Amino acid sequence: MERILNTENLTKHFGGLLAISNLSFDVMQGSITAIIGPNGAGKTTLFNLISGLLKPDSGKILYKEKRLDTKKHWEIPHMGIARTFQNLRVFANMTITENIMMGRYTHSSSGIFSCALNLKRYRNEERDIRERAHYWMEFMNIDSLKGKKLKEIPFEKQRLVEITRAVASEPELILLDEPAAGLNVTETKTLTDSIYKIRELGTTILIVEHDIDLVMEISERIIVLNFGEKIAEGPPKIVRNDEKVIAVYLGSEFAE
Amino acid sequence: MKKLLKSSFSKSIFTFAIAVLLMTIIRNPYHVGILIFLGMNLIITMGLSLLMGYAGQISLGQAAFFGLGAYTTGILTTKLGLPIITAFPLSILLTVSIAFLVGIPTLRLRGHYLAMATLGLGEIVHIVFNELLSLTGGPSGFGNIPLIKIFGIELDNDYKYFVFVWAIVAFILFLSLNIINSRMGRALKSIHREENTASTLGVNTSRLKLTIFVISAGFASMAGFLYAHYVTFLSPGTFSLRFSILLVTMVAVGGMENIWGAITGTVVLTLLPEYLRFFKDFDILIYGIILMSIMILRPEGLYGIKIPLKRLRNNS
Ligand SMILES: Nc1ncnc2c1ncn2[C@@H]1O[C@H](COP(=O)(O)OP(=O)(O)OP(=O)(O)O)[C@@H](O)[C@H]1O
Ligand SMILES: [Mg+2]
Repeated sequence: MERILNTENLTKHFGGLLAISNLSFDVMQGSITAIIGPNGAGKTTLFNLISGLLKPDSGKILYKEKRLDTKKHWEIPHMGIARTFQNLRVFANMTITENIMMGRYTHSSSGIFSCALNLKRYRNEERDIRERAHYWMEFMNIDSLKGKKLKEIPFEKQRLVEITRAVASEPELILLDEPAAGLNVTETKTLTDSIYKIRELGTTILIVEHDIDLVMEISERIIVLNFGEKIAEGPPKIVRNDEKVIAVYLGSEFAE
Repeated sequence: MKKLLKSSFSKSIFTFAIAVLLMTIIRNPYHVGILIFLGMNLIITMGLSLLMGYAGQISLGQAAFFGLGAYTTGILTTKLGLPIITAFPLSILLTVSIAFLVGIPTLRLRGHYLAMATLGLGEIVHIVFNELLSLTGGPSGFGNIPLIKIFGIELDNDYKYFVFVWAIVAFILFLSLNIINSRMGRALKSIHREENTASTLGVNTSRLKLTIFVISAGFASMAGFLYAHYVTFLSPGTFSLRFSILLVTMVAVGGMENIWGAITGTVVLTLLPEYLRFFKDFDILIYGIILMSIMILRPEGLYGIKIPLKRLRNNS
């Protein structure tokens, strides 16, 4: 297996606060890798660095051995990286289908003039965008939401819309920030199935999740962060019994 | 059939047809003239709606772009004797280039820097109109701008000009609706809500905001061109900050999140003052009260108010 993403001595401060500290790790192509750690450990900050919303103070991020941290943030999705947000970021001023269609932005290229003049090239592309959006809605089992407005559906479904939007961009690497937060047991089960389905497409998955059972079940590799530092890394079985990890999660249901 | 009516093309044709029908009913040069100015305002506010309602940016320089379009074509055709067909693209090009230069540094920043920059631009343009005596005639302006001739017909009366202006209104509406319903329109809406999220989906947000700003300036310049060859006389007073603010108000009053809102606001705020003249000196007062009531009672704008006609009928 080749690695698709890696960081080298990545560091990020917020004022005096060290959010990511000298972090190096590899993510293998086609794998499911989980990032766990207590609140404030720097997991979301790491995602923001990878997706370009934040720039590192020092260190590098490489995607397919090419520098990622020097790219502009809007260029990163065009390289095949998609993400979801911990605090749901769906577009309330659009329909659900339109939200998913936004996921096809990187796969379309009609400029403002062919759009404005309604040229044939643009019309064909728009039809394709819609068809692909519907395809991914079916793939994620949310085709029942076609034509609905966001405000008509509950929070958990909106989260699925956001994930589908990311999946619809057919990324090679997808970053999921706490996709199971707020979901009940059945919903989490459905989500797990979808995550497996996404992986079967060959997509590499990097997931931040507090639901330890989910993490232990799906991930091949776990990276544990605490105060921005990597304190453990390895397959679930090893990480679960790591003393440092147990110490961080002391008193929780974590250890077997 | 229903689908056909919903297309941007038929909506534009429909708008044009209604306007022409209205003209034939009115048959009064004074009122037709008002509707010509309404058409020009609409051309500007449709662009401003794309910028404000969709891209989430405010421009206080639309009167300046309107003025630049008008003055450029005016000067080129009178002082330099260029044919209108040449003056037209040049006037749009000049305006659009200035918008581009103002937009580049300001739209890279987040926040309302564009409002400040365009406010400054508006003042500069106003000063230039006043001071560049040899070309603009200064505060007293200049006249004798030629009339437009199209397919051998000189647009020498209000009715002909009305048809010409409203054909362009319909065309601008067609362009705007197409943009709104396209991938670009979705990208714009996404910027308005969540600029970071938009960029994590691949939208180059600064560039798109710049594009829309330049387009809105182009629309305003188009209206300026139409104004110059209709009124045939230009003076700086028309292109003041006051007019820029009025345009922004039209879009806000009608409802920002929808282009039909901007259209509603423009119709109301263009026609209202004309017909409030009836109240003599109280017109400003009534105008102010109406504006304030809208802002307080319906801050999201006029568009979309459902008038419960059925209930009214049942009650009476
Ligand atoms: N933009 C910011 N400005 C200042 N401080 C920040 C910013 N973003 C995050 N932080 C701080 O950096 C630290 C790491 O935050 P981060 O959101 O990455 O944690 P997390 O591991 O995702 O936590 P959680 O599990 O609660 O989501 C926290 O102390 C947080 O307060
Ligand atoms: Mg987080």
